[in-house]
Amino acid sequence: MAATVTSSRASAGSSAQQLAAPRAPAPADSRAAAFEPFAGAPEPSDALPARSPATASILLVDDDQDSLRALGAVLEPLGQRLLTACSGEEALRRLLHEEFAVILLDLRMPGLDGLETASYINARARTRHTPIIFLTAHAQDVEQVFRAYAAGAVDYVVKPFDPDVLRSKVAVFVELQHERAARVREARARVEAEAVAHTLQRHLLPDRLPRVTGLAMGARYRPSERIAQVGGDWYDAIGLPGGRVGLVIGDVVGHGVRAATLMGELRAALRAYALLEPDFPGAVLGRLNTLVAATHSARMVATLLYMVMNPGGGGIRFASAGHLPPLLMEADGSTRFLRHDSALPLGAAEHTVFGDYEGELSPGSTVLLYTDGLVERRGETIDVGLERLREVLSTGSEDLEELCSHVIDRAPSGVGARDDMALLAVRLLKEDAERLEVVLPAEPGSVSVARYRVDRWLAQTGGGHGNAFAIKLAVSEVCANAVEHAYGPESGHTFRLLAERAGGDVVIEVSDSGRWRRPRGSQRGLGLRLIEQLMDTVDVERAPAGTTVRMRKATNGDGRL
Amino acid sequence: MGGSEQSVAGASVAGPLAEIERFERAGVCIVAVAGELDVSNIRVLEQAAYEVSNEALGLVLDLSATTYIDSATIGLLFKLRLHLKRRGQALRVVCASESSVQRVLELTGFERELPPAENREAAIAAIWQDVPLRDGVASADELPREG
Repeated sequence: MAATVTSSRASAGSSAQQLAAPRAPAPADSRAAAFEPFAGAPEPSDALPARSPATASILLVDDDQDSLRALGAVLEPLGQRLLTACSGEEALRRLLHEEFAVILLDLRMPGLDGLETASYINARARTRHTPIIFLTAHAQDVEQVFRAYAAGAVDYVVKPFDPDVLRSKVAVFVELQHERAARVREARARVEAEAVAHTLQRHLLPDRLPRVTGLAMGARYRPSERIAQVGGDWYDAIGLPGGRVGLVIGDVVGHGVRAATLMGELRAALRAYALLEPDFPGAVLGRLNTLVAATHSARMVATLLYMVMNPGGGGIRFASAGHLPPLLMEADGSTRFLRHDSALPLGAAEHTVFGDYEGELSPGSTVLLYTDGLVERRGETIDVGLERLREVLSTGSEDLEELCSHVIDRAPSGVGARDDMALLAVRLLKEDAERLEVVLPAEPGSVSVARYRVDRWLAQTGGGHGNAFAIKLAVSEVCANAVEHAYGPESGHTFRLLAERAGGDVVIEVSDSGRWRRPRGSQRGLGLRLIEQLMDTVDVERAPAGTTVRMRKATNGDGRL
Repeated sequence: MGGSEQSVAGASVAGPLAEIERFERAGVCIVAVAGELDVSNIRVLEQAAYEVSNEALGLVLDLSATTYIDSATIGLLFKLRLHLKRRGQALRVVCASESSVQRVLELTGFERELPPAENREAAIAAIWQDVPLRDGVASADELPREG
């Protein structure tokens, strides 16, 4: 390998030259038809000659100068920008700076040969789709050409080449490049339209779920796969007096801005009524129905399920306006639907009575609220879909966040699937799960053990909501410090790791019976700097009996580190 | 509390945290790490990384299959960079964007010092780009520089 390097280094030294920068014969409207560079292409540098809007770049790669000159002469009439490179390395460097319509690549070159160069071009995301035409002087290289096709080549030419054939082959890719630029412009416009439609709905979903002691919550929303179609599904969680929480899942029938607007109204009104009637979900729905019936035409209807949960005793009370039944998963993994007689959807009748249903959750059980997108598939009865959802839930992860992803990932999709879907999963935490306590030997191998234990504990108690990694890393750093600095070389010592949840926060405490040493040198301070960036608060308590580090992190943040 | 019992159970979890592989490609020394890096195994990586041959253009530390790094790894990266610079060799780190490795590089400021490459090939290409040309000054000047 070393020999290859030496020779390739030497060949990379020969200078590249730009053969010619012929302008395209400018059409009268060339200014109007502005050519937009393909996505991700760097801005042309001042060092480069100004490009005519419809000019594409072609890269010619050959270690033989005569061959480069010949290629230049043949391709010049195409009126495109021609650039040369006399080694694979140089070609790769040019590709770092510029987008090419096509690359003509000599198969046999010292250093990086054509095949290897092609493999790197092909491996790089930005150049993966750049077509490569191989040049070969030898008939026996044709066998190599088959390998070249595997490396992303589109064609090959045997030297000495027929000028007309070569020119027409290259012209095809120049034309393609122009078409591709136009397609990219169209695709961008489409993506923007879609984004506007979904932004409306996204603003109506809660940014974050409230922190409720004793509960873990997760939610997902999947927008319609159809372009620019806004659905009317939503979820919400409302903090109520007495440590309780109001859980909402709803679905406005229909699509578009009208559906999204009604959804917004319902969401705002429900939040107000929930505080007026914190004990009676049915009464909340009654008020909502009156509102919808009074202000919207009869054709605007919505199904909705509203549940009040008390984490203290595990009590639940809910009412439903034509919505699908909540799905319950016990701590042992068994599942069942909370069947009830559902009233009419909101807006279907002027006066509807919504009854309250009561139940009690056992610690560790999870309630799943969902919209019909998760169960409906064209040509299938609803019971089949419900049964599938029940199975999906019971095969999910213990981690609530992963469980939510598991359920939404296995929802019906593609043709026959409904448009959008939402789910809200709430788990009543076991009391003992709120706390983790481990004593570990003060040795380097314990650092990963501490990390794994905290990771698992976080998952079991409802996940870290995007902060699990930060917490894990901070724990690892503090434990590494306890192991490295607290005791020195003697063995037989231990340190203690304590983790608990307080409100929405995770509190970590690591204590040892040695002495906390000041970090030495700039790199030693890295760990401490990391911890301070990762956690909301960090306190180091040094005492003769030992050192204790206490850290705190909110787990309902936006999850960014 | 049962602390000692838990720590015994935990010890079995540890096992070998990472597999470290070293080889050469296109004149560049590649060290690839699959698994997790922390204080318990950072020395192994240090040894592998310091044995770069004199002929190599540089070192690519491929962390795309690395699921966890901590400040011990970052400390080594800073040290390695200086060491290689003195030897006239380049260092490039590979990691997946949005990965936990990338986040630690970002948090510690190493990403600003030396932006990571997204894959091995891009890292190799970047090292080539840094190689000073012997008689190709004109061509190097002609090339537009990014940034």
